[in-house]
Amino acid sequence: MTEVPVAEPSVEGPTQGKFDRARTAAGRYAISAAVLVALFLAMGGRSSIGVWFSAVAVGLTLSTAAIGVYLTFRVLNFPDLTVEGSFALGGAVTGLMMTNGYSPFVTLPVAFVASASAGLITGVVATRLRIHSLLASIIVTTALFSVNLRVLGRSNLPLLSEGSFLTPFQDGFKDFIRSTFGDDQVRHANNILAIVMVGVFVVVIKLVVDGFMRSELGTAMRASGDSPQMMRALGRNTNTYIVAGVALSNGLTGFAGSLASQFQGFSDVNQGLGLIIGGLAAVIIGETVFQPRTLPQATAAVVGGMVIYRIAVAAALTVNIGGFRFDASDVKMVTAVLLLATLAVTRVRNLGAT
Amino acid sequence: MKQQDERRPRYLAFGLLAMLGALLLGACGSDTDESASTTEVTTEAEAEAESEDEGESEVEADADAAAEDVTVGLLNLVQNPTLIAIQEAFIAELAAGGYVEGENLTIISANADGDFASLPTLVQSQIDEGVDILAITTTPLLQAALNVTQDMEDPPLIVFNAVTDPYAAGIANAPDDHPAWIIGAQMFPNIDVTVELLTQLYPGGTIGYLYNPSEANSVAQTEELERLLADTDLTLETATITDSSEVRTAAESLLARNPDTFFYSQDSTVGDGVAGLIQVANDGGIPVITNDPQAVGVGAALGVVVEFEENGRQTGEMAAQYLDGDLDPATFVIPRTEGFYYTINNDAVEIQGLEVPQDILDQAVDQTPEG
Amino acid sequence: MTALRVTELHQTFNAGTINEVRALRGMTFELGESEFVTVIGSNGAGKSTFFNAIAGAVVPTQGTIEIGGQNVTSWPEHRRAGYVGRVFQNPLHGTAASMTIGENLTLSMMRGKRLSFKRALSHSRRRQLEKHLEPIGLGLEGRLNDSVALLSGGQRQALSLVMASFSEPKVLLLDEHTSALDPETARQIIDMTDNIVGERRLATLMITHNMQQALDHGTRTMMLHKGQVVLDLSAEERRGMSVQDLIAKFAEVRHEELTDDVLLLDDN
Repeated sequence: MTEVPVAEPSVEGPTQGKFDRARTAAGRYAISAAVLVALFLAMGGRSSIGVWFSAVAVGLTLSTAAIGVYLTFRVLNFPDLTVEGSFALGGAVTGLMMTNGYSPFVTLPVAFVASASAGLITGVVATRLRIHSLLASIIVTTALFSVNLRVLGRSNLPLLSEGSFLTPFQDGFKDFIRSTFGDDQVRHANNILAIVMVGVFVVVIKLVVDGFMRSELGTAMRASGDSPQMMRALGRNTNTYIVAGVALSNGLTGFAGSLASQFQGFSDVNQGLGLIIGGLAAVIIGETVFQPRTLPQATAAVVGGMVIYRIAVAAALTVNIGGFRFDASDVKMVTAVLLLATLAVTRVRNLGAT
Repeated sequence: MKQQDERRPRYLAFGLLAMLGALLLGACGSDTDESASTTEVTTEAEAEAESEDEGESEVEADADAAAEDVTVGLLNLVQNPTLIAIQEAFIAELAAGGYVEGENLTIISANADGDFASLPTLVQSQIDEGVDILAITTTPLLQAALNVTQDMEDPPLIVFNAVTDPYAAGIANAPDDHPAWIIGAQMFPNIDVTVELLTQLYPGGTIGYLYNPSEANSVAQTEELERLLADTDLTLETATITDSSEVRTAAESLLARNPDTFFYSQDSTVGDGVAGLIQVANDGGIPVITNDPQAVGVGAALGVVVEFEENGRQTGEMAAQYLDGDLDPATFVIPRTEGFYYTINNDAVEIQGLEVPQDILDQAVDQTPEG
Repeated sequence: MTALRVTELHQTFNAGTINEVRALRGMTFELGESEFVTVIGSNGAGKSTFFNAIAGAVVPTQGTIEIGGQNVTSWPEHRRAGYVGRVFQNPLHGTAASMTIGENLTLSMMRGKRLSFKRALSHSRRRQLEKHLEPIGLGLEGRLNDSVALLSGGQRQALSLVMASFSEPKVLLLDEHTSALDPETARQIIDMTDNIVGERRLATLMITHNMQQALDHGTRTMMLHKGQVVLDLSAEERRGMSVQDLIAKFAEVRHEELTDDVLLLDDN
């Protein structure tokens, strides 16, 4: 019988003892909580609670897109910019269908399929024509701009009068809030209802994605992104799995686009602009704060990261310290600085890790 | 090992079919307006032309003056009902002036659909087609047109409408000090009337105001608002945005400062995202008052709307007079479209809790959606 | 039945251009079913090209390749993968670092099978793995949930070896799989190789730069030079041979000195 040496436990690497990991986890959560509390106060304390509810709601609607970005950038090693176009495509399909009388719930899977097709095209173009993923995805996202205009019919379409996935439950929920928390809190009812409903959607989707990633096909997909050479030696066509993964990721983004359009009450062909930054921010913040070690932990982490990111953006827009406010035009700089700070903290912490 | 080879072409086919399907869906689903290409525009001008044929000699005199065929290029920034109505009023007035599409008038129309990068190209392509008049709708297009034509020896006449403030936009210095080939009618909102209304409704109150400081028009409107408010006892709380998706958060933050009403003027970014503002207003029971012609139909309570169709009509008249030879662009003084009307959404008034004075109720145009 | 038969194999890269390289010049070779052959040769001798041709990563310019009696010359890499197991020199290439040991092993277990939506590392697979891994004595069966990223280079090569040999391929190709490891670990991997190959009776080809290792392991040693087989020593022929003897034998056959530094310096 042969013996192979066991890896030496290192002090700063990922093989920390359980106690060390808990200590740094507590530290991370404590710092994050402290930051959030500070933001809360800077935004005006209790009167800003409406902003918080709305930020969490928006964060949750975008979180399936964050899972999509995580999938392409981290799991498949396929940097994919199609998401900006497919997010708007999800919204455009929703706008078109709802103005033609379809139920808001029906638009969700249709948006998923439409955007997944866009991702499919990016994947095929990249693998078959051997074009770098960035270039292929930029080309597709540019083409999608025209497609979205055709689908929506105009660059901006109000949807308030068509209702949304909230509509069947709005009145009942308002009554519930009124009877439980009083008249004063009724104005938060819609935001809270959105948090609850979208939360349910996100949890279901996350569990399905996690389950798929544990399956034979999902495992092959992950390995195709991680170690294509090994997969080819095992007789698998890595291209097929990568393409399927890109399609899945964009489908998730289109789903988010549909949710977003319904929640915000309009669909705009430009609503995907800046989604890549948001998705990457969600991934970075999620990985830094929650330090996931398994894939199910990672999908939960990026959902959390997106919510935190949206809270930060809302804070930048509304913070008021002794009369000082950020101009809306400064918000992009603020979010960039936030991302840099998060990345800096991550580097410092993980000097010895893989 | 065959299964991988079989799956690949299937995926490709599925993907292409789906994209095609999306395109077809779009082609079927979108309304009759066409976009981003040069097309012919059919208007009510033809109906007017028919009645004119049976008309009296004065009309024939006009028709005689318009003997030659003229080409007018119509350029628009986005598809929205207000801008389209302005263009249609322009065309109708041209027809009333004897220039009828299909008879002695050719119209080339293009819509940028929000793609700012392609504005100069659109302008240039219409100039290359030999238009006699460029009818420009919205400020960004006007700026692009100025850029493209300013070094030309013989530029076509530019007539602009739906421009809130050509002076702030750098097109002209004053109504009588403008490039010789550019004329039009300014469509500035009636902020003075609105401020009066606000002082009447909420004496000593707080206004929650939104705008996008990157729009030159909005900056001009905001300055006018602040100037007028200085003489009142109203407090202005402002939230700025740069993107339509920020409207909701801005509204929420304004709500935290306890306004008596929300207000925004003619800002297209807020207009695009107005649904977010309205949802917050509905939830919080705070009214939305606006100068935006479209917002009341979407869910704002009360609108003080400039006569935008008059703006289109005025500019159509200018174009007709120019073609008749009765207008000298170089000495022309740019007017401002007078006239406004109130619009009201009764459902929103109720949900948002606005007490509308009776005289306004009597004259307001009802834009409450049906159903 | 022979596990591998290669007939008049030629491999030329960039034919007809100034960069033309004739990597293989008519190799003919037979590997019996339980034979363990060590392969040595200087740089440019054609060893890696030989392996790539067997695995299907390159298509030969001329000649045939038969694996297990089946003519696979025109088959693409992924089609042959069920017949060929391969361990690379770089420990990072044989395993997926972001996944667990169990998941990596499952992937090799699923080799050649049609994949489904069912759970990859199911309970039955787990039991199968545990049963299979225990006799190897590495303790891998208790670490199925550990991430591969935690393993050292030697452990990863051990895992690659297990994965490559798992489904009992017709031919096992070991491409200098210990040369990136420190001597102690390398020795342990080599011992493990002997054990696995011996117990499973796998037809194996092992490239090594270490001539002593080539003589000490396997049942036969083959030397390649300039794309051809120049020495093919059976167990009896090489018994008692030292590295010096091997070098002398080469000179005798080729009427030239062996001048490859790496080959000469790299003996124990």
